[in-house]
Amino acid sequence: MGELARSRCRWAFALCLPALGAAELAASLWLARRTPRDADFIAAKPRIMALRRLAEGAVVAPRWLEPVARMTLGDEILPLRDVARADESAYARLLLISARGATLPELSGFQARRREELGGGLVVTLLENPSPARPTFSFTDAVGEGRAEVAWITASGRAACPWRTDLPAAAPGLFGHPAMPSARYACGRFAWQSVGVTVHDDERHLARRCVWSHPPEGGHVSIVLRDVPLGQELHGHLSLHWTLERDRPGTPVVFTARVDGVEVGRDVHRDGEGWRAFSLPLGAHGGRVAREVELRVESERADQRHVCWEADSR
Amino acid sequence: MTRLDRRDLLAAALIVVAATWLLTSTAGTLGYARDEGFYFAAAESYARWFELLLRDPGRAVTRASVDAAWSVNHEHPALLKSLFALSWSLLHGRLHLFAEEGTSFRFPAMVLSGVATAVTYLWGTEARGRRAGAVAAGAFFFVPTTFYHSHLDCFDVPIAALWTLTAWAYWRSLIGGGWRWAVLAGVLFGLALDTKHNSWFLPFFVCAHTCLSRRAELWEGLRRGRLSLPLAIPCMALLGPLVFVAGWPWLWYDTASRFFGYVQFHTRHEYYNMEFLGQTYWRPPFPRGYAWLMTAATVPAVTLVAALVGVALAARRARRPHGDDPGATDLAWALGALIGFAPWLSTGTPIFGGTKHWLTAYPFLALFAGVGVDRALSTLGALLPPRRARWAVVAATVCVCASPVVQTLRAHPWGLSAYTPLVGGAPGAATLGLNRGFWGYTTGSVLDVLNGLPKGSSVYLHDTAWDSWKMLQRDGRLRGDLRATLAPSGADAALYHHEAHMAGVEQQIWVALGTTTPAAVRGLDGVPIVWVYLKAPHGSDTPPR
Repeated sequence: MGELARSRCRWAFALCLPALGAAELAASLWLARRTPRDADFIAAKPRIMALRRLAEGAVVAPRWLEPVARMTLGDEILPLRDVARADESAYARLLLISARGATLPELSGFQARRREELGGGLVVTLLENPSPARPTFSFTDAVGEGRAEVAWITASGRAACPWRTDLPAAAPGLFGHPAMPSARYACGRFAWQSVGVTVHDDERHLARRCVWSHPPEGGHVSIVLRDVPLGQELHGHLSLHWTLERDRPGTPVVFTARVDGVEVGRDVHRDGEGWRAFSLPLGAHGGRVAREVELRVESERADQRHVCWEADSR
Repeated sequence: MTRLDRRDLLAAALIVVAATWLLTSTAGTLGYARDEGFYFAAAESYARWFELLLRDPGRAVTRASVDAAWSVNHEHPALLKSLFALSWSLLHGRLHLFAEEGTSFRFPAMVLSGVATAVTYLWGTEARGRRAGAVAAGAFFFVPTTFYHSHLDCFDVPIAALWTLTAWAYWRSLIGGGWRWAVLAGVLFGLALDTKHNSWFLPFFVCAHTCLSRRAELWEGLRRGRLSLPLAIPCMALLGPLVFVAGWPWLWYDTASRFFGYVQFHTRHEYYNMEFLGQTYWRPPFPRGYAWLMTAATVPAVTLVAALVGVALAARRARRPHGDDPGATDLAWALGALIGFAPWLSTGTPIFGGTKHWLTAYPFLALFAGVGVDRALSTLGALLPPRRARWAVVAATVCVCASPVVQTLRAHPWGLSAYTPLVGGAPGAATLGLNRGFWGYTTGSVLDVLNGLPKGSSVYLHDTAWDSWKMLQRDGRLRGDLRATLAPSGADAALYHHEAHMAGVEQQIWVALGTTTPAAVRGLDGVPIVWVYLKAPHGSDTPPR
């Protein structure tokens, strides 16, 4: 190695650590300012609100930024049904609120129609779903509004679960089951012995608005809705509490749909499958108004069957 | 080899004082971690026993008294909790040196953080010169996660201090320190055993170092029928267990069964959830790259690269005969670093503690970093004329040191959420799915919100331990009329400390308090870490829509 090359090597060695230190410091300060702050959301709120009116829902990317968005933009822009959505299939248009153009993998099929940079790194994009589903009836909403007839059916008979709006919400805290809302169908003494709309932590720790329906031992939960306008299929999701999906301790859960007394299909959920979509074609019932739709949830053994489902007809 | 003189001892003392001052003066913005709550309770129990010991020594040492006091938290040894107890009862209770009780409990661990930094300085200075020692001390202290753990009344930084002290005393006994340093190594080993179970790896360090650095001598001795070991080894073997048992009254009765109970608690420890790269791990096999990637993601890059330079220089030296280094210094530091990380070579070792469980490796990484920076600065100085060299070296030193110092101080009090630019900082780590914190300590960052609640409000604690919450109230940092609850149902306000596997708790809060809109979200660099919900005016009487 020549003297010049040796000298260059020595300079490079002497300066590499100071240069790295300076570069790392600059990078850390630069990165710290890249994420939109509360004030950026608040300043952008009027514009986001205006764009939100053009969409059926709003989502935030990256997901970890969502609490700040919820705090600053509020329930009008980010209601629970969007935050804890079952999936994106029924949204014709979605407003994506993002930090520096981040996106969510589940939106890959959507097409961007409008994109605006709102300052502080906030970007809003109006997305269009090329083939949105058109639900005709939400079973989840109907249960949440107390429009169902619910009962536990066991060998010892039929036990009606009355709709109650005077119960305390039951939320056990760390390591507990999902919270039971105040308004629910009460099937027994304990909070878990009920049917009601709650929010459920799926196997990826994503929030899912769904109907808690713990089946009884040796029987099933029966949920009956009347005068239901049907589409061509019954579409939904079902899963268990994430620790049960992970530990897989139980027997399969069977979700059955019956229209006017006739079984139209069933979905069998095994532990570990997670928040999985199912579709039950309605055949000749499609496009009619059913007098009665009964949804049943059962399992061979009821132990640890913390079932939560959502469904619509589309 | 630099002979330590009075200036070095003074510098070491100043390091202890400065580190302790910085830690105590920044403790006020830090909430109490979950485990701290358990150690507060244990320390108070031990403090009562120490009072009894002074008042009635005969009664204090009876089995009934020992069991009553020391059965509390007997899954961890006693030294640090005893120091927490003495600091609380003497420095706070009698001398009123601390405005906050919590800081008085934490004080001994803070001092030991200073001691760890100081011994890193002394060892680096003695082995490789003052500049190397000074840089090493800074490289150890200014790591965001280390700085966070240095505040706590826990054992992770104290065991790093005692591990390094013991290793240093052993090393000094080899370089002519004689029997005094060998005895000191034995006593320090006992104190390390009485601090935390990371100390179980010290014998591996000493034995590996002896075997590798003295293999010819050992082999020759064995051929002649004698085992020629460094004096420190028998001292550690004899004094270590004695000091350990003497310092932990719980072991004074049923010694064998209680000792094996302690060992089994840790060898059969249950697994907790920990997020890593977007996946929550809760049972083996754990990812083998966890410790390495987490170290790369949380220790400033300049420190790590400097350490690699130091290791490379050591490797070059290793090719030369090392008769002039009877302590085999590079080997000692390399073993110290490797043994600190070694348990995570197994996929069965729990990862729930984040980086805290391998903090014992950091002083050794810092020592190598000190050597690397020292050599770079020496090279720079030699390339320039003397007058310009001085300023260039000062400027280069500032460039090297500024990043760890600024990253560490900026990250406080969010130390467990701090990540380096290598992974995009805290926002990049959140996107990658790296853990954002644990132990529920960030309640300390929302005290202004909680103190603004109506009188008598109930607050769901989430991951904050009951005793940690009570300590905030005892400190006067949190209003005493606020009531803690362990379930969101019926609470007026709810805390949520984010961890991926705890998302369900936040969803419970939405349903129980009737809102998805937090009243406050706090975090680091725009990344949410803790948030507070207030009960919606309509309560939870409508189903979630």
